[in-house]
Amino acid sequence: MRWLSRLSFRLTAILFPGRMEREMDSEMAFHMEMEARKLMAGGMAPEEAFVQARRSFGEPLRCKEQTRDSWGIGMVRNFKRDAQHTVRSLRRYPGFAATSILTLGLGIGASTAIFSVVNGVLLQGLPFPESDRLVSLCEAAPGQVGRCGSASPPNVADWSERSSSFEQVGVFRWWGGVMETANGSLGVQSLIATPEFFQTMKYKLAVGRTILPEDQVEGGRNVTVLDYDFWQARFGGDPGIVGGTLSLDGVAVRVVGVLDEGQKPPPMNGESEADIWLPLHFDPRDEQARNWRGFHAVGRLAPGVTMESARQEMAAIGQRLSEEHPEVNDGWSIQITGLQDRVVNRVRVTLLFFLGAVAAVLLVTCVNIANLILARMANREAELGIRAALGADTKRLASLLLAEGLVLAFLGSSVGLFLAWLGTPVFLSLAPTGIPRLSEVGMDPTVVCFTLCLAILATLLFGLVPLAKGSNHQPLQALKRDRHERRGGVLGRLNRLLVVSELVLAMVLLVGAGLLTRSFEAFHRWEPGIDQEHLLTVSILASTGEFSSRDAIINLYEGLEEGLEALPGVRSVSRASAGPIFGAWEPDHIRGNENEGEDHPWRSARFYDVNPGFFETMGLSLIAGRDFTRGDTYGSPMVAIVNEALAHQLWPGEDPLGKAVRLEVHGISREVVGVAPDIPPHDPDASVGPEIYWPQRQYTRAATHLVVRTEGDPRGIQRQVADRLAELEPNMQVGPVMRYDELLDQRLVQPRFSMLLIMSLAIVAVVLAAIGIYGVVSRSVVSRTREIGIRIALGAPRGEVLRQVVAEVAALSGAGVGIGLILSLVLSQLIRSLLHGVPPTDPLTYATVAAGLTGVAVLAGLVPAVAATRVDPVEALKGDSER
Amino acid sequence: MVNQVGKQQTDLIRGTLDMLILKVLSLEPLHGWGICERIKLISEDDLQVFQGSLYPALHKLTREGWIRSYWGLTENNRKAKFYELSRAGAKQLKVESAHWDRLSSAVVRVMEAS
Repeated sequence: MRWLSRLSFRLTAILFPGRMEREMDSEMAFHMEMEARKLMAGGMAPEEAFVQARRSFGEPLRCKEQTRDSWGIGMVRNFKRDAQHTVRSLRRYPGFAATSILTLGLGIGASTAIFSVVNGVLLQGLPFPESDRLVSLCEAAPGQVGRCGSASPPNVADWSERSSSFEQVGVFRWWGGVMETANGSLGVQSLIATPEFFQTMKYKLAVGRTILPEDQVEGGRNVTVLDYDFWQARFGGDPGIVGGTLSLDGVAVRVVGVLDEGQKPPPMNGESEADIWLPLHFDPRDEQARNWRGFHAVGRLAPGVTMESARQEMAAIGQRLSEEHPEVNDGWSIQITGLQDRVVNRVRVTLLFFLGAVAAVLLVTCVNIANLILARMANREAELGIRAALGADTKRLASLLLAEGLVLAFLGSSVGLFLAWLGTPVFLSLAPTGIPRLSEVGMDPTVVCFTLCLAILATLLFGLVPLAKGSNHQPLQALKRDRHERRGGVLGRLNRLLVVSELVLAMVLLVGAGLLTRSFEAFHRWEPGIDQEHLLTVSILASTGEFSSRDAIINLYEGLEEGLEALPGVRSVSRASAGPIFGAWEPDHIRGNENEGEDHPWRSARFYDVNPGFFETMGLSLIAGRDFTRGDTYGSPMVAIVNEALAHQLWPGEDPLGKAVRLEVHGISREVVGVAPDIPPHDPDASVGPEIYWPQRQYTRAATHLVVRTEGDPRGIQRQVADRLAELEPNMQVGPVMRYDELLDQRLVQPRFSMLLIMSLAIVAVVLAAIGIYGVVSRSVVSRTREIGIRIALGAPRGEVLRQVVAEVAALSGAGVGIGLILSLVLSQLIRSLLHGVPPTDPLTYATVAAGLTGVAVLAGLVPAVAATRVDPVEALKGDSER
Repeated sequence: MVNQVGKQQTDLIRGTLDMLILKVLSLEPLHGWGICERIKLISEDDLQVFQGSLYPALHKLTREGWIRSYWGLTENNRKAKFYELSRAGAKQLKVESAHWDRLSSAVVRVMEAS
C-alpha cells in the first residue's frame, strides 16, 4: 500500500503546490522560533536570539529548494515551467507559432478526416454479425474472365442442400413495386428473398417475424416484412401495422414483421436501401428458372470451414450440377468471394490512393515544421548558451526542448482534430453514393488513436530535431554575436535536403492530381454520335396487375408515346430497354446460325429491345438495311438489328443482312435486317462491344425507358414531361426525367470526387512547400544580413546577391522536380486503374506540373531574396536584426 | 567536538539521518524541532542535525510512507506539524538498523585489524 501513499503525496504536491509551500514555510518559521526561544531561555537577547536561530538554519532558500526536491516531482515541475516558458516565447514570436500550429493542424486535420473514411469503409467490417464469415456465391459463365455477380435460385438451393461448408445460403434480388396508399401510388424499392437469406444474415427484428418457408407460394405476394426506416416514415412506427395488409401492385399483402434499425441488405452494387421484403418463390424443377441468373447469393461459412475448402467442395458440386443439367449449367463454375471484399473492392484502389496522398501531405507538413524549428533554432543559440552556462546539462536542455515540442504538438493536434471534426462532414457530402456505408463514417476511437499517434510523432519531431542540431553547440560561441559562416551557399545542408524533399512530395501529388484531372476531362470528350443536347430519358415500370399481357403493355407504351408527342417542344418519342449511358446492360451469348459447331464458340453480346424509330429519335442513322416497323410483331418472322462490331465479329467481310443469329438464353433465331452504327462507350479505355437490338413487339416487358427528343433546350420541358407522364398513367412507377448532361454527371460523381480530393491535397502540399521554401530562404538571408550588407557596401551589385540566391533555389528546385518526376513515373503505375483515356506517363501532365512547380519554388525563394537586396548596408552593419 | 549530522562530508553519517529520525519517532511523535532536540539530547550533544538536511529528510520519509504528518498543538498551544512512525516505518527501522549494525561492526573489525 506504500505505493499509494507515494502516489498521493506526489499528486498533492503537483495539484496543491501552494498549500505545500505554505506548510513548509510555517514549519520552518516554527522551527526558527523554537530555536530562538531556547536561546532566549539561555539568556540571549531576543534580537540576537532570532539572528542566531536564523543563522543556524543555514540558507533558508537552499533548505526550501532541497525540501522541494525531496518531494520527488522535479520532472513535473520542470515540465510545467518549461511549458509556461514555451507559451510565453510563442507569444513573442507569433509568426512562428501561427505557422507551425496551423501547418501541423492542417496536416493532422486532413489525414484524420480521410483516415476516418478509410477506416470506416475499408477497415471496419460490414454491419452484420460475424460478417467475416459471410461470402458471396455466384456463377461464372463458361469462358468468363473476371468476377461474376449472380446466380439462379434452383442452383443455389442445390448447393445449399449438397454442401456442408455453409451454415446457410440465401438468395435475394432487388425489385420494384407500387404501393397504393391513401394519397395515391408510391413506388417502393422491394427485395425478394428466401427465408434462408434472413437466416444467413441473422437479421434482428423489431416487431413480428421474418419470412418463413410456408410463405413461399407461387406468385410470392402474400406476406411482407418492412424495413425499419420505411416503417417509421410511412407508418409512424406503429406496431399495429403487423397483421394488417398493404396493397402492392394491386394485390393485398399481409405485413408479418418489421426489421430492426440498421438491418439493411448487403450493398452488392452500391445500393443498400430497401423498403419492403417479399418472399422469393421458385420451382427447382423449372429449367428456365434455373437459367435465370439474376439473383445474388449470400452464404455463411460453417464454423471451422475455410474459404479454400468451401471452394473445393463447391467446385465438385458445380461439376455434378453441370452434368445433371447439361443444357443450362454446362461449363458454368461457382465463384466464392468474401462479402466484405466484394463490397469494398470497387473503391479499394481509390481509398488506398488517398491514403498515400495523405501520407505525402503529412510528410510535407513534417518537413515544413522541421524547417521552421531549425530556422528558429538559429535565434535561440544565445538563449541556450546562457542556460548551459547557468548549469543546465544536456538532459535538462533536452527536456526543455521536448516540453516545447509537447506544447506545440498539443496545440497543433487540437487544431487538427477540430479541423477534422469540421471537415469530415464536408468530405462526406462531396462523396459519391457508391461508397458503402459512408453515412456511418465518423470520428471513432480508432481515429482518435490515430490522431494521437500523429501528435506524438509531431512531438518527437518538434523536440528532437532541434536537439539533434543543437547538441554540440558551444555556449561561448553562441554568446558571441557572430554567426559562424555556413559553407555551401546561402542555405545550410540540412535545409537544402528538406527543401528538395518537400518539392519531391509536392511533385508526386501534383502529378497524381494532374493525371486524374486529365482523366476526368477525357470523359467529357465523349462523342457518341447521338443528339445529346436534345434528349431526355425516363425509366418506367408498369408493374401493377393491369399490365400483365403483352398487348396491354404495348398499348400502354404507345399511349404514353402519343401523349408525350403531343406536348409542344417534343419532336419525337421512342423507347428502349437501355441505351448509351442509360438503363442497365444485359448480356447474352450469340452465334451465327451458319456457324454452329464446336469451332464457333458463343460470343458475348448485349441485347436491347427497342421500338421502331428509336435510332432516329437518338439521332443515329442506320448504316445498312432497315429499321423495325409495326409489322415486326409477335407472330411475324423474328428480326434483329446488329451493330457494326457484332457484324464484324460474326461475319467479317461479309454482308450481315439476311444472316441469322441464335442466342443462348433467348433461344430463338433472328434474321438480321439492319446494321446500326457503333456507339463509343463512355469509358475512353473501353472498346465498342457487340450489340443486338430487337423489336419490343417481339419481346415485350413491363419495364422500359422512354426517350424524348426535344426541339429546343430540354430543360424547358423536363418538368412537363414528368407531369404529363403522371397524368397519363398514374399507376406506373416512373423514374426521374434526366437530360444527358445529368446522366453524365451521375456517372462522373466518383471520378470527380477523386479528382477534387487529390487536387485539394496537392494544393495544400504545394502551398506548404512554397511556405517552406519562403521561410527557409528568408531565414537564411536574414541571418546573413550583415554579410550581405558588407558586400553591398564594398561595391557588389545588388543583382549579384540576388542572382546567387535565385541560382541556388533554382538548382534545388531542379533537383526536387527531377527526383519527383522519376518517383511519379514509378508511382503513377499504381493508379492505372483510376485513369481513363490517359496513360500514367502522359507527357503533357508531367511537363506542365514540372514547369509550374519550378516556377512556384523559384518565386517563393525570389521574394525574400529581393527583400534582402534592399537592405540598407549601414543598418546591416550596425547589428544583426532581431527577428 | 560536535558532529553536525548532515553538514559532515561523510556519506556514512548523512545516510543515517533517516534511521535516526525513524528511531526517535519510534519513541514518541514529535515535530521537526523536537526531533532535532531529542537527537541532541540522547547523543549528549555529539550529534546535531543540520536543519537544511532535516526537512528534506522528513518530507522524503513522508513521501515514502514511513512516517505520517499531522498538524497538532504544542504544550504552548502553538500549531505545529507533528510526525509519527507508521507501521511500514517501524519495519523499515528494523531493516535499517540491522544494516547499520552490520556496517558498523565491519568498520570496527577493519579498524581493529593489526
